[in-house]
Amino acid sequence: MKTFKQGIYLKENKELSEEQRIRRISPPAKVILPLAQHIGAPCEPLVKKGDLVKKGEKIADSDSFVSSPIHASISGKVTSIEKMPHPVGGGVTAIVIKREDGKEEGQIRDEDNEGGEIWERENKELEISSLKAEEIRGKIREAGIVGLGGAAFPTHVKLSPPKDKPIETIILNGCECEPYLTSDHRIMLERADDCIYGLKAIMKAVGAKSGYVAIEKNKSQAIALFRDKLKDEDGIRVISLKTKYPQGGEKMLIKAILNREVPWATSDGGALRPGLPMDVGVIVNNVGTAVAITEAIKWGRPLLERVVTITGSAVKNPYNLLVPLGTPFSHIIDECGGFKEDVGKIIMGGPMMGISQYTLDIPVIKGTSGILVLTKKEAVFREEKACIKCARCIDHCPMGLLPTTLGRLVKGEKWDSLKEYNINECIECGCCSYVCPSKIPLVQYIKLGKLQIQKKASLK
Amino acid sequence: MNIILISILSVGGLAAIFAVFLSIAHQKLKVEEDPRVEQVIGELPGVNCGACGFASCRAMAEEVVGGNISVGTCSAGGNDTVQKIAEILGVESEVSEKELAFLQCGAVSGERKKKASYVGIESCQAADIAMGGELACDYGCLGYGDCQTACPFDAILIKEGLPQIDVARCTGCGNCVEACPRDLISLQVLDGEVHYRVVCSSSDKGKKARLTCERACIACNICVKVCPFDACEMKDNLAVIDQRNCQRCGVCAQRCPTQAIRETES
Repeated sequence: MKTFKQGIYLKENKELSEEQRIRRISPPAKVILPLAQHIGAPCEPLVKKGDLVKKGEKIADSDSFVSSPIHASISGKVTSIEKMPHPVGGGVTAIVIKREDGKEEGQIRDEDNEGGEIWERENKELEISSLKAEEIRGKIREAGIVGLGGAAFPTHVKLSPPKDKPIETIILNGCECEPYLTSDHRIMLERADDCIYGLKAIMKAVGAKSGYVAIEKNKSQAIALFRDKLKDEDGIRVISLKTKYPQGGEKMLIKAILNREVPWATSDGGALRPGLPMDVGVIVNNVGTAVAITEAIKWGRPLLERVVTITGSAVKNPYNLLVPLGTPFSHIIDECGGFKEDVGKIIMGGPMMGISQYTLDIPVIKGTSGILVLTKKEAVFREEKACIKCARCIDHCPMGLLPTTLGRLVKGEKWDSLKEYNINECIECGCCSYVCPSKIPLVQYIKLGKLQIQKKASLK
Repeated sequence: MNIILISILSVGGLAAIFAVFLSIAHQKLKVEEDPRVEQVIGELPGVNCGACGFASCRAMAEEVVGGNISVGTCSAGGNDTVQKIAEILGVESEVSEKELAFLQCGAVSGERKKKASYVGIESCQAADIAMGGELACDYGCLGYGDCQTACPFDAILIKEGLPQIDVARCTGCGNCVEACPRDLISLQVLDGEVHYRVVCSSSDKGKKARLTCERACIACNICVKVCPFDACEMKDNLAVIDQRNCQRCGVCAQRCPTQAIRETES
């Protein structure tokens, strides 16, 4: 079975929501759409307070290449454009839209609140061979699609590699290695055809010859389904991978499937250029992104909603919900029947890389793959003790770094040495903090170190 | 007896040879150093704070004596030091206004609201990247004391979660300005006279600011209305006092409902 070196085995806890079919949430009364939901330049609003907007209308965009437009996810009235809490931290200007119940003709074909089966729509078949690469990229950019796995990197930028970096392989990432989360799993089971269509579109857009669908072994149903659907396809293979964390990291996937290593950052003339999968001729995309691309190409539908797993032992009814972007967490939790125990921690994303939240007023953004609610008992925090030099973090770091040394150097503010120890290669997967017997918050130290190095560089 | 004599003679002989060699080397290979460098170093604070932009006090002294930088470069030393350096070098001294660290947040730990419980690295920089730690205010002092650690002159002490700046010890080196992740500390002219300053940095609207902190500027505009000299201004939901126009009458501080404008020490 293919896999990468090091990493950790985790208790999966996916059974809570694994069997729940994706359901559409009841429409929220208001949505909060932050202007920065992606990596890159934040958008500028195209609407002003008091404007009526229709579902699917573009409400914010940017001239910058590395950016992605934002669309209204419900029809209604813009009630304010102001600084609101953002799930990734800090305050970000957001457009707040209040739903108006008047029957307005949306720009989008499907009705606002369809009940029952949500995926059965009029199917406009568009042969991929009839599309041009530039056309596909244009549609992706206009639809505001970003990587839906969590990092939210604008997809049209990812699919525009420079001329000297030919892309030969596309990997569709269906690993979902984070415990608890099941949204990608459900997408693969319920929308396999759209996943495959999206993968083919991506391959066409960059001229890649081969494609892989990478799925961890614990999703055997999905593996069987994709093997069946792709048995007549040349050039696309389904790869079953070992269930190990962080198997879904793109560098780990490339190592496991193609046995290629993404080079580390190189500095040419001072500026650090990070190593990217395209350096080894590969692009990795999430299955959710592929489905969004399919919708954009077939129906011209912008990214308005995404599948979110609401799970954890403190949630009454764990679900996989299809949620309009900008829906406040409080509305989603109500939909799941509320909490059943004392809440210890609310996390956006999975338990390993997710971000703790302090309020339920924050919205679902493009990168929200799940909402995890832990009980007080589970969210226990132990005090940091001195490092006992056991090297467990080094044994498990999937990037082959020395987390304990990095932590020590951050404490000592040795910013120059940190660069020598390749702090910027850390993918912040959290394996080191998880295995540390002294409970040292190594990832927080490393994040702090990265930030300080950036600050020092910008001062110069 | 014999062994002792041989030892004394051989070691003593070697010492004599080396002494001759060293004294010749001292004459031939001597590096001329300006004696004024040592004198200048004697006048500098000597804590290598780095405010001048050089790695150490010695590095700066060499540059000053070499005439490459102005005699007023050591901001930490203040006017006295500058004057003494100028005397040593025999040049005109430059008198500049003394700028000292000033903290633009005035809420002690009981007055600012908490939004969550933060468990992690106890440092302002680390808490700031984790959603601002437990502090409800997005602008205020986190109180973990990064500035205290950064201060080479022991001029900052955290008291009730708020740094107290000892103006007698502060030299204006600016290390704390750099250490604060929320840019709350700035260098301001504190010339021993009374000043009225806004001790809040919150750009939140009145209601939200009031809910997050008892001492927040709520943008009520009272100071703007009562100021007889038009020195108060409201910028981005925060009062700003123009020190050039301020005549130090103190009406704004008396009338401010949240004590966000205060008379500052020294």
